[in-house]
Amino acid sequence: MKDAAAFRTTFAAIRREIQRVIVGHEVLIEHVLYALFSNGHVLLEGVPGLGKTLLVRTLAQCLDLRYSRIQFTPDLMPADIIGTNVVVQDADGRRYFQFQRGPIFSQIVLADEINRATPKTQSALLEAMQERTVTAPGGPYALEEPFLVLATQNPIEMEGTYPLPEAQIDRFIFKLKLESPTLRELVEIMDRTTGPAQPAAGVVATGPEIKAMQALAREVPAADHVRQYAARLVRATHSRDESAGSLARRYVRYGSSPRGAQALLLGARVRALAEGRFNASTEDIQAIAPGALRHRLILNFEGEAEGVETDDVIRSILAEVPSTPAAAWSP
Amino acid sequence: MATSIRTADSLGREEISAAVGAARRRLAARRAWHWSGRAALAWILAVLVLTLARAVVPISVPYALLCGLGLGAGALAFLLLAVAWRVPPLVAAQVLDHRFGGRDRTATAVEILTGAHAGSALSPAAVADTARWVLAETPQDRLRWRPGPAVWAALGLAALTVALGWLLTGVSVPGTPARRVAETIRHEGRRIERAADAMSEQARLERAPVARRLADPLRRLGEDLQRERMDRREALSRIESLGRQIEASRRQVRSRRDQQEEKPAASDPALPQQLFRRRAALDQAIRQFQEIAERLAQNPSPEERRSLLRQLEALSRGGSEGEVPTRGREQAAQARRRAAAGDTKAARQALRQGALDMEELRTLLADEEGLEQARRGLRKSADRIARGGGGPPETEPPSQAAVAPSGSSPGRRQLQQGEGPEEESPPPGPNQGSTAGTGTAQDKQGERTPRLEGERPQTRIRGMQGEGRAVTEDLPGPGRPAPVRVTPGRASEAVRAEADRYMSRMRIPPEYREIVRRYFEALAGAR
Repeated sequence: MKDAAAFRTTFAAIRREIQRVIVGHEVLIEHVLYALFSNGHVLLEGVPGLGKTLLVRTLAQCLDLRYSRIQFTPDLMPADIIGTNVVVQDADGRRYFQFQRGPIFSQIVLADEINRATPKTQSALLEAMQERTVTAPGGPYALEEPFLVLATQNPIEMEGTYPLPEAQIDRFIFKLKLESPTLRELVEIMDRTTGPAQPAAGVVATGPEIKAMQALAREVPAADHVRQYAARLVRATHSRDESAGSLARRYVRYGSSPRGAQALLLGARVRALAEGRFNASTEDIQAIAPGALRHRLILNFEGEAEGVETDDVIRSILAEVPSTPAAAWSP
Repeated sequence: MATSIRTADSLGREEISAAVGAARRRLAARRAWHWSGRAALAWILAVLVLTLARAVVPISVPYALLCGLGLGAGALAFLLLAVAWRVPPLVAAQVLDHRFGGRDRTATAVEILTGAHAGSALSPAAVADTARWVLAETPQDRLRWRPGPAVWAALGLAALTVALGWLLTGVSVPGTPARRVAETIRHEGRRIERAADAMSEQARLERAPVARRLADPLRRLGEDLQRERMDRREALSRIESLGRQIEASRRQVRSRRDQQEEKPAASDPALPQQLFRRRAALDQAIRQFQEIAERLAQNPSPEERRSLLRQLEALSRGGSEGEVPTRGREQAAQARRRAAAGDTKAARQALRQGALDMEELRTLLADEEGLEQARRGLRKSADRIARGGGGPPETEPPSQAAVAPSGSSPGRRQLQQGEGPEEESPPPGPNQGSTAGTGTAQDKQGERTPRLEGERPQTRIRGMQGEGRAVTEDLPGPGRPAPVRVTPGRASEAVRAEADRYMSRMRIPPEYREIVRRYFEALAGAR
C-alpha cells in the first residue's frame, strides 16, 4: 500500500514538473509516463515546433538518468548510435582496439527525427529496444535499466525520409501524436518562453525508484474479463478475424501483433496505479488503446486511398467490442 | 484491539460478499421481472393484434380475460424465475462495477477472493480498496428493483387492449368477413324479432300463455342484435342463454302435457309438425265432441241417435287414429253410457267436460309448439351467425318445411321438394351441350331467384267450420310457396255427418283428413 501511494505521488510529481515546462499535452505527458513505467518506448509524431524534443529533454531533467540525444540524418550510421572500436595507444605506446560506446548507452535516448535515417541505421535500435543489449565487438553489452527510447518523427515531410520498418515500429509501446496548442495554451507558451526566466524542471525520481515503480506496476491485478477485453480488441483489428470491427474488416491489411495486447495491459496497469486504484479496468484499456494500437495497424490500399486513419479504425473497434459480458445482465 | 487487527483480505471479504450477494438476489429479481414483463408484453401485444383483427376477421377474443391471464402468467413467471435464477457471483460483481462505476474493482476482488486470479503483491490492497468502495458507494442498495419499461408497456397495452376491445366491439371494415358476420347478426336479429312477433300473435290466437310470455324476451333479443354493436361470441352467448330459458320452459310444458296424457314424462323435443298434427287431431276431436253434444241437444231421431252412439263408441276407443286422449276417451265412454240410458243432459255434460280437458291439453300443445319453433329458430340463427354468413345459401331442412300450421298437405311438400337446392338435376342426355335445344333444364330456366328468407306467420282458423273469421296476411316479396287457403264452405249437417261416418270407417292419415273432408264438402257444395 505504501509503495502504491509512493508510486502515485512520484507519478504526480513527475507530471507536475514536466507541466512546469510543457504547456498542455496533458494526455501525451501521461502516456509518456505510462510508457516509462511500463518499461516501453515511445514514438512521438508531430509537426515541428510542438515541443517533442523539449518534452523528452524535460523528462530527462526530472529523472536522475543519463540522457543522450541522437539527431537522425540520412548519413547517420549504426556505429554512430551503438559505438565503434577505436585504436587506443596506452602509456607504453602499445596500440589496441577499444570499444567506444555510442549514445545508445544512456537511460533516456532521444532519437530525434528517426525517420530521416536509413533503415539500416534505424534497425540499429532494434536489439537495444527489445533485448536491452548491444552486440558489438567485445560485447554484448547490457544497457543500464531503466532504458527508454523516445523517438520523434515529422508526419508531413516525406522527402528524404525512410518510413520505419514494421519490426521497428512494433517495438514502440505507444505512438503518440502531438496536437497543435489551443489559443490559451499558445498564450501560455509565449508567456513562459519569452520572459526573463525560463522554467526548469527539478529532479523527482532516480533510476532505482523508476525500476521499483516499473516492478510494482506489473503487480497490479487485472480481472479475467479485462484481459479478455484487451485480447478481443487486438483480435478485432485483424480483418479476417470473425470478431473484426466493421472498419477493420474493410480497411486493415494487417492487424496488431501480440505486443499490442501486452502494451494494452501494461499501460492499463500503470494507469490504474497512477489513478490510485489497485486493479486494471476496461476503462484503462480503452484509454490506452489508441496510443498502443495506432502504429500496429497497417491499412490496405483502399484505406490509404480513402484517407482512413488508424485512429478511426480503433474508435470503431472500441465502439463495437463490448467491454464487459455483464452488460447483458444489466437491463 | 483484536478485532481491529485484520488483514486486508479479511477486511474486504465480508463486505464484498455481502454486496455481491445482495446484487445477485436483486439481479435475479430484476432479470426475472425483465423477462416476465417482456413475455407479458408479447402476450398482450398478440391479444391487441387479435383485438384489432376482429374488425377484419370474425374471431371472438375474450380480450379482458386474455390480458388478465397474460399479466397473471407474467407475475407467476416472475416469482418462479426470481427464486430459480442463480446469478454467478462474478457476473453480479461485474454488474455492480458496470452500473456504479466500480471500474472493475469488485470483479477483480471476487476473482482474487475465489482464487480465480493468481495472487500478486497488490492483491490484498485491491481487495481492501474494493471493500472501501463498496462501503462508500453501497451499490447494492442503489441497485433498485423497479419495473422496467417492458412492464409498464405491458400494463399500458393491457389497458389499451381492454379499451380498444370495448370500443371496437361490433366495428368492422367493409367488405371483410367481420362485416359479413355483423350483417348476419343484424339480419338474424330482424328475423328473430319477426319470429317473436309471429310467436306472440300465434300465442294470442291459440291462448298459449307460456309462448306469449317468452315472445317478449325473444323480441328484445332480436332488437338488441340489430341495435347493439355485438360481436359473434356475445351474440351467440345471448342466443344460447335465451335458448336455454326457452328449453327449460318447453320441458316444463312437456312435462305437464305428459301428465295430462298420463304418459311418462319425456324430455325429447317433438317436431313442431308432429305437435301441429297432434293439435289438429285434438281440434278435430274437440269439434266432434262439441258437434255431438249439440246434436244431442237437438233431439235427434233414433237413427241419428244410433249414429251418434256409434261415433261416441269410436271416440271412446280413441278415435280412428287414436287422437283422443285418455281422459277424453273416458268422457266419451261416459257420454255414450248416459246417452244410451237416455240421459242426454248428462251425456252432453260429459262431452263438454271432455272437450274442456282436451282444450287444456291443446293449449299445452300450442305452447310447446311455439316454444319448439322459437328454440329451433334460435338454433338456426345461431348456426348462421356461427358460420358468419359466408356459407352456402340456407336450405330449409325437411323437418322445418312442414312447420307451418296448415303446411302438411302433400302438394306443398312436393312443391318444396321440387324447389329446394337439393333438387337433383335431370340426368344428362345425349347431345347435351350448348347447341340450341340441347341444354340442361338449368340452362333453360336460369338461376333461381334469391329467397328473402321471410318467416311466414303460422295462422290458422279456429272454431267451428263456417264460423269465425278468416285470417290472412300479406307477405312482401316472393316469399315462400304456401298452400292455398280455401275459405270454408257451407255444408249441411247431413253431409257432414255422412262425411264423418265415412271418414271414421276409412283409415285416413290425420294429415289428409282435413283435405278429404273438404273434398266431400266441396262435392256437396257442387251439388
